[in-house]
Amino acid sequence: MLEAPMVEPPGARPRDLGLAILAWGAALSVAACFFWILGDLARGAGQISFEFLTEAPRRAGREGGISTILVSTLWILAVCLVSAIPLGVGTALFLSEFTRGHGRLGKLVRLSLDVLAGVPSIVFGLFGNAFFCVTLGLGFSILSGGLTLACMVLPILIRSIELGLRSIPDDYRLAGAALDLSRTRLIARVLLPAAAPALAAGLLLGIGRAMAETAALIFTSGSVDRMPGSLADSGRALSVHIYDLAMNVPAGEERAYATALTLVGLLLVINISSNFLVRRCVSGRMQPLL
Amino acid sequence: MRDLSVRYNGELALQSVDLDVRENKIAALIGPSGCGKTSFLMALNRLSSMIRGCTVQGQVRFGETEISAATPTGWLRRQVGMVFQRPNPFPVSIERNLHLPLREHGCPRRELKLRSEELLKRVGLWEEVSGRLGEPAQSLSGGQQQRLCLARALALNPRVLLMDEPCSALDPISTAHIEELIDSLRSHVTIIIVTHNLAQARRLADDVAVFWNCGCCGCLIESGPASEVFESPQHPDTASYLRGIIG
Repeated sequence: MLEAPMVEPPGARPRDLGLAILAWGAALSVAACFFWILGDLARGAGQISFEFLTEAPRRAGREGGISTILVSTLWILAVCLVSAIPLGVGTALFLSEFTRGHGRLGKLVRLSLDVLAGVPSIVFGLFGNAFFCVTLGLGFSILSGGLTLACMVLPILIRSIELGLRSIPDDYRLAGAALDLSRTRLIARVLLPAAAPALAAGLLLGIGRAMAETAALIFTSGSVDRMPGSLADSGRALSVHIYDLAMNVPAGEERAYATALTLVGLLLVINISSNFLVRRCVSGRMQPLL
Repeated sequence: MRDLSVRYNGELALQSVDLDVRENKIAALIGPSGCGKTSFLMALNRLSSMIRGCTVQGQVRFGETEISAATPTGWLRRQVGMVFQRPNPFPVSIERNLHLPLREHGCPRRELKLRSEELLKRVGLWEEVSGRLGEPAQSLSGGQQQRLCLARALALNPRVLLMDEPCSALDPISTAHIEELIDSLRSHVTIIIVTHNLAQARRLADDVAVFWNCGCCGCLIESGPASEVFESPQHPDTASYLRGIIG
């Protein structure tokens, strides 16, 4: 008869106590940090109303709402994603399915991505201003801002999708080859849906970085707070609006917090929706790309 | 197969195999691990070309057709299907696992459901999954997944089916299901199965080929009708392996 338990409960040994304290302490610090930020942002909760979300800003943002800022932000984000996703997925496919880490071009692309990932956003802003605004003649516009942000999020997106694709077992590739599935069908119907969680994670990280970006956008999309009539118009993003209210507008702090809370809420909505789409994609209930 | 050799990065893994497989019969490849059985199998449908550094030399003929590097892999893999050691259904729904090869090989969209149903019935899976075809294939049990993989391989109507230890990851009941299926395919598909289960080879095989580790690499030491190899093996290593003394 077995009288003693085979496995001791975790943390029961004194020598494991240090690790347990470290793990619990780290987790609690992260949670505390999140709630502290949330508590701080809650200062702006009183300002949020239907009018705040649907009216244009007046008197430099002290009055009115943020509707034009929201529209500009979503346009900038759309331009960023529409240009970054095809490039990101294509490059990730090249790195994971065509070069597999071998070959000079693959190594060169990886090195470029590593360097790009570490470049400060202000440098991207300067590049975006010089290339998109001046050289291509796009001026301060939503297009310039979105394209600059696309350059910024590409390294995150590509690395994340590439890791997702590489983590897919080779069994699927062998099975696809044994069935004489074309590479296009295998990638579009099997590998990319399987890598959907990584794609979503990369997108969320990218969207997070894009929506939080201020420096690069001041240089490229400008800070005009009117409703943009087209992609060629200048537009002010939420992050730029927060910066402007907090730093340049006397008594604009409450509105800055309200805008920041809206930004966090928007990120939360994007996060939940993308998780929902990924779950549908992984479970096979959603039609894949091709 | 004549003088078939497989190398990995120049190192010989399987040396000069000569083997005839009879049409619509089951040939079992037996022998200890690491003697080149799977390499041999993958050379037959040229999946070996997907493995970096792997080269194959020698002659493979299907009937009158000689398979060479110039043979279109599409044609070859429609003739020679494969079921792998671990069940590897695609991470999509059960029905899409069958739709993918069917669509790739020209099955009209309107016939997909019917063909999928036929294939699932053929592997005895229809009754178990008919109500949940849209669910992920990974939600099936190991045995069900392997039967789905078999149905997927049969979607191409292959003349030859290569099976690499298809039951090694399965429990005895699932193994019995797969063996029944293999037996039912005997009359219209040539099957080459790698197995470490000697009892399974005895139950299923018409012919047996014994692979062995001949020092530097794998080699074929004996082949012939199953009854002869099992009852009166010619090679001393085969006799010892079958008696469980070595291997």
